Amino acid sequence: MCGFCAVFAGTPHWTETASDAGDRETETGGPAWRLGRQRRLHIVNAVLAHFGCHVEDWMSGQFLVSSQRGRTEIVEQLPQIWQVVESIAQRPLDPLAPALIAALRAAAEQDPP
Amino acid sequence: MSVYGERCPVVVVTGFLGSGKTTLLNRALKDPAFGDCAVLVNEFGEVGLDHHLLEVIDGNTVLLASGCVCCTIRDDLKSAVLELQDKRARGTVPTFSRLVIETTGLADPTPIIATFMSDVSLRYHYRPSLVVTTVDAAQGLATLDAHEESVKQAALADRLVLTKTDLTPSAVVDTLRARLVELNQSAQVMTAVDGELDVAALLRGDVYTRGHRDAEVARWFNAQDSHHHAPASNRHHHSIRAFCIVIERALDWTAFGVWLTMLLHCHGDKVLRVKGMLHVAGVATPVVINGVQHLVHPPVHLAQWPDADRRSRIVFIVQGLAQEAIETSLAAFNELASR
Repeated sequence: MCGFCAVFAGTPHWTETASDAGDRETETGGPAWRLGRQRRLHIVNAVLAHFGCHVEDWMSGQFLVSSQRGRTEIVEQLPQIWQVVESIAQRPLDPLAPALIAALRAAAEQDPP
Repeated sequence: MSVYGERCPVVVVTGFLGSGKTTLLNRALKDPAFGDCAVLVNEFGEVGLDHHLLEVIDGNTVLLASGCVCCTIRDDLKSAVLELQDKRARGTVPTFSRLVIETTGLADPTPIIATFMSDVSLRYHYRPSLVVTTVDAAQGLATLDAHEESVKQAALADRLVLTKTDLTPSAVVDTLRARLVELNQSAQVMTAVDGELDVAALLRGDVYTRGHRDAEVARWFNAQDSHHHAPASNRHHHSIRAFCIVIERALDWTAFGVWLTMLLHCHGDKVLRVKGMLHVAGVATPVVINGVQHLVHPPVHLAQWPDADRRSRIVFIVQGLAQEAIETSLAAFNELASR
């Protein structure tokens, strides 16, 4: 638990347990873990742009999900981001939807590596 | 907090009505390999179980926030396990290092798995291990045609046990076996004759047991490779079908995690099983993923690649989802990582 804000640290999600560096021993909260978290936010935000939402890190333990109309919610793990955005966007967050895939590809072409 | 693989493994024994679950368990419990097992049953059936560590489950179910049936917490099961744990601590029942749960014939095993993965008072002590599904060799084909519950029980299995094979013509057994392999290519199909079965083989490790991981994962994909050569009819099974996607390019772990969580958020009720051996960019050895509907076990690493093939392979057992759509979507998400 954070001593300043009394926020409980949750159990790491499976996406965080085998770290982005592939080292399963990587300590939660360490530099590789933080880097992975930033990369995760970058990719999630590329998806959420299609739904008019944005997510930021909050206290390295939660995520702050915001809509363009100013609605904001704090969530703990990746699956909860999808739940919140779906309730904000009022439409399914379907990664198989051709429109989303086309949008992701168009964005990738405009922003090449 | 204990390491995932060291938590008490929970084996779920399921199978349609009359498929021989209790007979199998009765025989199995007499085997020394089952000596350290506690057993929980949903109800006492016609065939009584004789075991020193036997408890009955009854009670309520509680839905998790996501509201999906597969994410139901079995409150009754939780209470039964905690009570058993309490008795063990007080010394009123023998110690046990494995828990076996027998479901009813119509049960969906997923809420049992969800209970052990989601409940905070259970998940640090227990981990779902194997789903063992019994299939009546004589009635199996008709049951699969008529009852979707039985198809799902077979699709979720890690071990498929054919029962009553001694009472069934071998041609029928062969047809059933082929159909089960088509439905769930990564499960090990075993045969029980009059309840007799190699119990040690039935319980021999899972992907989280040290020393068994590589062999278990190899089996997932060996079955897949041999199945490639068989005609893929997939015409039965109430739209449940299995396929394996093969990805040439190394996967970005972050993009993969984002993609799979989003896929399971939207389609978790239709993704009955997902098992994969992934080539993750920058990682020398394969990463193994294993999921049941919305639930994904912590990923583990294999010590080495089983052969020279470095492509990622993921087996899906899905209901009504198209292979091409899944492949296209994963590729698009993987491309995001290079931006």
